[in-house]
Order: sequence, then structure tokens, then C-alpha cells
Amino acid sequence: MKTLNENVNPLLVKELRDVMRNPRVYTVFVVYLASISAIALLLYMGLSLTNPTSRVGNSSQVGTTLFYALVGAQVILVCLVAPAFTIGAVTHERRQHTLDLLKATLLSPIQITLAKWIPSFGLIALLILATIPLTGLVFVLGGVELTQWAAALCVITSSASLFTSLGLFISSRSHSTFDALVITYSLLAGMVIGLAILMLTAPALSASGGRMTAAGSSALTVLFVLLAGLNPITALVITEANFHQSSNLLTVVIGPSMGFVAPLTLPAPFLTLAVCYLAATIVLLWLTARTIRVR
Amino acid sequence: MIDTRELTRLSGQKAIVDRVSIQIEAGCVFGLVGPHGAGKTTFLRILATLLPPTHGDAVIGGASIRRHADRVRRITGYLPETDGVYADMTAAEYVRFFAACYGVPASERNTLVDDLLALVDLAHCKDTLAGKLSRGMRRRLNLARTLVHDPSILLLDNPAAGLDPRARIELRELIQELRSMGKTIVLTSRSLAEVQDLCTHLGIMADGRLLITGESADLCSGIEPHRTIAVKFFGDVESAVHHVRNRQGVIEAKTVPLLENHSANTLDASVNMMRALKEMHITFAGDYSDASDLLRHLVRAGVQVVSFAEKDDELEKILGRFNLSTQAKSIEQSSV
Repeated sequence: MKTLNENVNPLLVKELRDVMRNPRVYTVFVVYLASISAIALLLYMGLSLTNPTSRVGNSSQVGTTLFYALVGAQVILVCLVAPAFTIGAVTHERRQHTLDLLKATLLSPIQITLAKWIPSFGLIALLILATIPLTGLVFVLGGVELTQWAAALCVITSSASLFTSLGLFISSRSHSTFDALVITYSLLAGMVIGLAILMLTAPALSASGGRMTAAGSSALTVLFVLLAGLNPITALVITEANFHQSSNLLTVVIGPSMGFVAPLTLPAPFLTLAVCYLAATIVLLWLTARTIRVR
Repeated sequence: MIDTRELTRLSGQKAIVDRVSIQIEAGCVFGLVGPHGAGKTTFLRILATLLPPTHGDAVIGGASIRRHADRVRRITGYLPETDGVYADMTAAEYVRFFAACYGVPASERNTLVDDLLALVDLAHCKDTLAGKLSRGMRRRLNLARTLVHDPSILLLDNPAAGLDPRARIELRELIQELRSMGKTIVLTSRSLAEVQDLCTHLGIMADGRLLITGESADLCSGIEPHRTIAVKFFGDVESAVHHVRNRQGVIEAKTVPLLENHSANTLDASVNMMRALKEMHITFAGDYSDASDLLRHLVRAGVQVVSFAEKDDELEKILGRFNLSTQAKSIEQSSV
């Protein structure tokens, strides 16, 4: 125990303590859980009122709708909350003139970076864990499989990991927390909302664009499936649509009717997203450490 | 102990530190003096391994700042110009936290915290939040922080900046105590008068270049040990000069016209205000305590003091002696 205590990053211990002592964190917890609960309750009441007669027959449909709504709400809330925990992490140290003091110690830039990122990501992970009992309600209603829920959890957690590291990276390069806030949320809006709108309207646009060769159409489909894995909303939508069509959660099979001689198997967008977002998280954390070292 | 070779840091095309080569022996107190923007802070930050040099290298205690930054950090303690504290930590927690960051074993931290806080005369503030300490106390707390890993070299960036005269005296005594403990100290200042007694060696820096270095006594010989204090005030000039004369440390006092050649019929209120403002230059040979007494005496005498500050003209006097100026293009460097 003594050896463990000696080897733990002291800045990480301090940051974890600061996070858990911060009253605003509990406010975020209450607001987050209240929002998810309110969405679940209102949606359930609305769906029950519109289908009052056949309770058993429609319960799985209600369960599925509720599941999509809760997962969608969580993705949006994670987008809003996750960067908020890290955008001030480095700018605050700069403002209070303590960053140089930390850099002058034996802590490496990567240790400083991880000490700033782990508590924030841990807090978001705790938020996601806290909503598990609530999302678990959909299993009572039916219509959703455990694997679907696991895929959704994978998307939400990967998104939280990327958004916290993005906030931290922007913070390391910004002069003020306000600058970091504006830049981070602008990037996120483009990445999440902009890309989702583009991806979800792309099939309709390409269909109305006139004739396309079979090869062109299949290449576009492959590109669409791969790009869908870069956005949490489209990744969830395409994964779920594919699951309902083929009962296959892990892969998307294209063709042979779409111009392919043999069927082409691609990873499901949620898997692409998890791999890409985790890789991007590692790169952003490394870039943050590099920025802290040289600036 | 410290050996820099052509140390250079560029910001775009501009050299913030320009080919600085210097050797500082163990046990020296080296004062780096220069005007604002001379590159002193950047030079110190490079030595503290906080900024990588663009060209050149420095070897500190046998370790290169480029290749063995960790080894350099183990033997150096860095005090930046602005005091960074975690406002929600007590003084003891603050020192203990940095001791952990420097890898001091947990079993030794409590004793270390007590010893260091006693050394900087903050033992009575052990449980006070760092955010509630006065500026001078924060400075001393930061000095305690630089000593947590018992470094043999201290890099102090403008240690007296923003301190009142009393706090400056206390800090000066503390630095002298550290010197007597065998520490090698490199400190920066904008005022030669502030450091010339404290330092064994001096270097003068301007525009990123080290213009001249040498033993403090050699560089300052021939320079009169007095400095000029500029006082701006409202009120009667004769009365103010009268109150200043014959005070401890005062050699001469003379008034300086602040607003000359200005049209008499100007109605602008701020200009009228400026016209009422007077300035007096006091040639002063006293210490900081005498300067503090002088200011107190002026205020008690009813002189409305607007500002009371030292004028830094010693640098130009020294550079003039060596036919250099702070704009000098030639670099004259030597070993100390």
C-alpha cells in the first residue's frame, strides 16, 4: 500500500480530489440524470397514451422507441457535458501560473496530461454508469437485445473519451477558457451535428442526382458505411438499421446486388467509431502532452 | 556548474535569447540584470528546462538540458516571477504536494514541510489557505516550494518583483541564508541597485544578448552606490523638498518640470490635472528600510504622493564605462 501511494501520480490524486469536492459536479449529475429521467418518463407516457388498447403487443415497440430516445439523448448530453470538464483544465493552470511549476517538477508532460484527462473521463464514465438502471428499464418492455445496448454503450463511452480529450487539447493550445470553449463546441457542432445531417441526407441527394453506374453506387455505399462510423448519431442509426435488416450487429454486408460480384463485409459503424475515436483520443492526448512540453 | 553554449531561443525570426554563452561556478550568486524584454526570463526558463532552446545547449551539473532534462530538474529549483499557488490548498498542503511531485518519499514529507516553512518564516501560516496569504508570504511559500527536493542550483526570476520594501528585505536575507547553505543562485532583476550587494557576479543583458559579465565588485567599481528615487506628488514643491532634505540616506533632492511648453489656455481637465502634478528626483544612498521611512515621512507631512519609484539608470552608467549600450550590437562575454 505504501509503495502504491509513493508511485501514484500526485497530480492525479489532487485532480481526483478536486473533482469529487467540486459542488458543481453534483449539480451536473442531478441535471443529467433528471434530463434522462424526464425524457424517459415523458416518452413513455406519450407512447402509452397514443396506444392505450394493446399494451402487450406494443410494449416491444415502446421499448425500442424508448431505447433509441434514451441513447440519442445520452449522446447529445455527453457531447455537451464531456468537453466542459476539460476545456478549462490547462488554461486554468496557466491563468493561476501553476503550469510552469508542474512542468519544472519530475512529472512528465504525459503524466500531467493524464492527470487532467482521467478524472474528467472518469466522471463522464460515472455519469454513463449512473444511467444504466434507467436504460435498463427498456428490457422490461422488450424489443431490445443486450448486444444492441452494449453497442450503444460502446458509442457513448468512445464519444466521451474523444470529446474530453478534444477539450483538453484545445485547452492546452488556447490562451483563455472562453477561447477553448468557443473552439471546442464549434468543432463538436461540425463533427456531430454537421456530419450527421450530411450523412443522413446524402443517400437522398445521391438518389436525386441522376443515374449512377453500379460501381459508383457501390463505392458510394462503402464510403457511406465507413464515414457513418465517424459520427456517433449516424453510427448508431446505421448499426441499428443493419441489425433490424440482417440481425447482424458486428458487420454490414454489401452486395452482391449492389454491383459487387461477391458480398463485401464491412465492420459495423459502431465498431469503426470505437476504434477511430479511441485512436483519436490517444493522438489528442499525445499532442496535448507535446503542447504542454513546448509552450 | 552551469555552462551555456551559444544558447538561442527564436520567436519567429526574432531572437529572444541570442547566442548566450556563460559559465557559472558552484557557490556563485549570479545576478542577470537588464531592462524589461531583455530575455532574462526566457533564459531562465530555458535553464529550468521549461522551454527548449532553438540552438545551443546548456550543461547544468553535468547534465544537458536537451538530453537529460529530468536530471537537470532534480538539481534545480525554479522560482518564476509570478507566484503560482493553488488557492484552495493550505501552505503545508502546497509544499507537501510539490514534494510528492519531486518524488520525496512520503515518510519524509511532513518533517520537510515543517523545516521548509520554518526556514521561510511561515511556520505560523502552516494551515492558512495559500490564496489568503499576502504577496510577500506567497513569494516565500514559493521559495519553500523550490527547495522541496534540496536542489543545489536555484533559478530565481525577479524574486523581489512586486514586493513592498519590508518583504524585499526579508527575501534578501533569505537568499543570503541560502547562499550560506552553499546553493548556487542565478537570479534576475531589472534594477542593479537591488542585486549588486547580493550577487558575487553580474551579467547585463539587453535585446536577448549578454552584453557583459564579471565580478560584481569589478563591474560596479566607480559607480556611485546611490540611486535615484522619482516621486510624483500634488502640493507645494518647496515644502516637499524641505521635508525630504536631511532624511536618512538622502543626498540631494531636486524638482523636475513635468509638463513644459504647454499652451496656458488649454481647458482640458486632464491637462490641468497634469499641470498640478509635480515631480522630484531624490538622489538616495539609503537602504530599503530608509526608503520606506522616507515615504512614510512624506505622507505624514501631508504631501499627496502619487508615485514613489526607483529610477534605473545604473545599467547605462556601467555600460557607458565599458563603451557599450543596451542597444549594443557587439557581444562581449566572459567566464565568471
